[in-house]
Amino acid sequence: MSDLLYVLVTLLSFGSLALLAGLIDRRLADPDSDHDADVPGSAADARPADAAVPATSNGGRR
Amino acid sequence: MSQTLPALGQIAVLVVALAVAVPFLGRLLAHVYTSERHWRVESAAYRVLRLDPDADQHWRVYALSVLAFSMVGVFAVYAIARLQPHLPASIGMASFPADGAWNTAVSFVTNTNWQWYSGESAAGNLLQASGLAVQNFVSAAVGLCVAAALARGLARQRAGGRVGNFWADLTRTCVRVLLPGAFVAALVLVALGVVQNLAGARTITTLDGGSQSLPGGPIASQEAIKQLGTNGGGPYNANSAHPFENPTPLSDLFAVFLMLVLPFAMAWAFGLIVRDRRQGGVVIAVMTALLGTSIGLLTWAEMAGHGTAPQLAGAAMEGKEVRFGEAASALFAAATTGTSTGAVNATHDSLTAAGGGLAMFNMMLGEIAPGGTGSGLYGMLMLAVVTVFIAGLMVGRTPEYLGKKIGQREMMLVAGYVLATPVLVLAGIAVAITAKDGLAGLQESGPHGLSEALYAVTSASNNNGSAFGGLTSGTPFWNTLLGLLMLFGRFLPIVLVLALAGRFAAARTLPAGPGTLPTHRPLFAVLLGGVALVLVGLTYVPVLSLGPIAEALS
Repeated sequence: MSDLLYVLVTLLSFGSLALLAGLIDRRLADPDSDHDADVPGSAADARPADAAVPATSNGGRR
Repeated sequence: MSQTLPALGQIAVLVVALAVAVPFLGRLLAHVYTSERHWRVESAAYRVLRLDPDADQHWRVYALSVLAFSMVGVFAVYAIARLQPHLPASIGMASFPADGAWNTAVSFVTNTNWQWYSGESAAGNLLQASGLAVQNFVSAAVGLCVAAALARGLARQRAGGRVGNFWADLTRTCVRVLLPGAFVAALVLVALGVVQNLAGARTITTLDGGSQSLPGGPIASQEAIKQLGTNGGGPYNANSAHPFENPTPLSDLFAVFLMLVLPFAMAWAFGLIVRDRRQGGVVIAVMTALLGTSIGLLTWAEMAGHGTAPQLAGAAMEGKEVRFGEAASALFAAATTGTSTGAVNATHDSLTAAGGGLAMFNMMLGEIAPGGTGSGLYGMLMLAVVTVFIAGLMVGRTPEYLGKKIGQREMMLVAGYVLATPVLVLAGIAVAITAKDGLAGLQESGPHGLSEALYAVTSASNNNGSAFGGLTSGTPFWNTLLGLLMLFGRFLPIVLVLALAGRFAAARTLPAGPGTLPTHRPLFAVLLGGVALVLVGLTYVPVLSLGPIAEALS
């Protein structure tokens, strides 16, 4: 019984954090954003130049 | 002999060792997080696990990967702790109670390593090696990965919120940094006299004919990653005060070096990743100034030692190992609470009121001086964003950090980060001192009793893991409360940091203009240190004044 309780507490805790991540993502992608041209999912982010950046790259920052 | 000279000597040795090691490790870390090549062993692991290490993850996917990986870790350690007597290499240890197993699992997964149990009488070799030691590696790696993702976010532009690949970062951190680092450190520790074997307890006959049980085990190998990964959970209840775990002043100083080296090196790596070493230099300077102040004040508090007994002894020696003395104990206490390590070589409950308060203050600072592996850097960078915002308001300059505009959304995330841990600490202490089960765990009453509870919730919420002592925490109430504080104290800030990393990665990098506040100059370092102290001061001074400050003044 107590095992089930702690399994549930763990699932709920991590689940709420995952939910929070989703909510923040939606909030940041809101078109009312203060620089919405830069938010994920906007047209500006579809530019191909950075789409090819390797996962571990620092983006070739100049 | 005066203690001042040895105290200064050990600090000088430490500074020289760090000055040599930090640039080297910083370059290594920067390479690890920017290299496009995978090692063969890493590629093999990706193939087996069917992972694509080149898939650049959006920050939300990165965060979900962190959460999923950590949740699996909690379940794995929980299962081993509960099923221990039925598993091999348990050396006769009993099953953990459900609340204790959960607390331990969360504790090690969150890099806290709070221990409600005595390692030598509760944890078998399988739990120590397959559960706890594994988490010592991967929980430290998670912190470094998150810091690397934030650094990447600042370095990239218009990358659509993509901050790297968690699985590649995790694998590389373990394979290229932590495993070789811990291996070398373990060899050094064995050479310095730390125990390393696979035996259980050995019974010996003492000189007066009595019998004594000497617990052995793979101590040096655990001690290495315990300190290098700023974990802090030791195989013995006395932790680094135990002579098998920390036998000499030299092994003690080496332990302090191990605690500090990766947090400082990650700040160095940050400068390299964003291609402006001066930015990393400013972060290191603030970390050093805060840590140096803490070491100085703590050493003074313990050497001055108010009260009749301390003054007769020449220092506050209660609860300290005579092998180390007060200077090494104060250095260790400052390092273990300035990082997120939580290992102890003295009883923090026996520190002077001022010393105990300083140890608490280090943790309340968010453990940014220099902080945990990775968590110290991302904590400091979050405060840097606050600093440019406040400075911008004060002098009318555009809030920007490394060319990234700091707007409403960025500040919402940073404010959430800054508030998250204090809310957990203050809500935690409120629950603890109003609940009957919470008060039942306290050994003392009055200000010192409050300090015992405050230290515990501060340590848990900041993922430190050190205990003040005096608190009986192995009860369902304390195990559950502290477990929740550890879990949310670790992952709530991480989600916010990764969200900010994604936000930065998606934004343009603006060229510096006449309205840009330079963030590589000493003035910014002073501002950053000031913001850290004022933010913490405003948040925690009321509760500190009821605990350690009231005790120090009484």
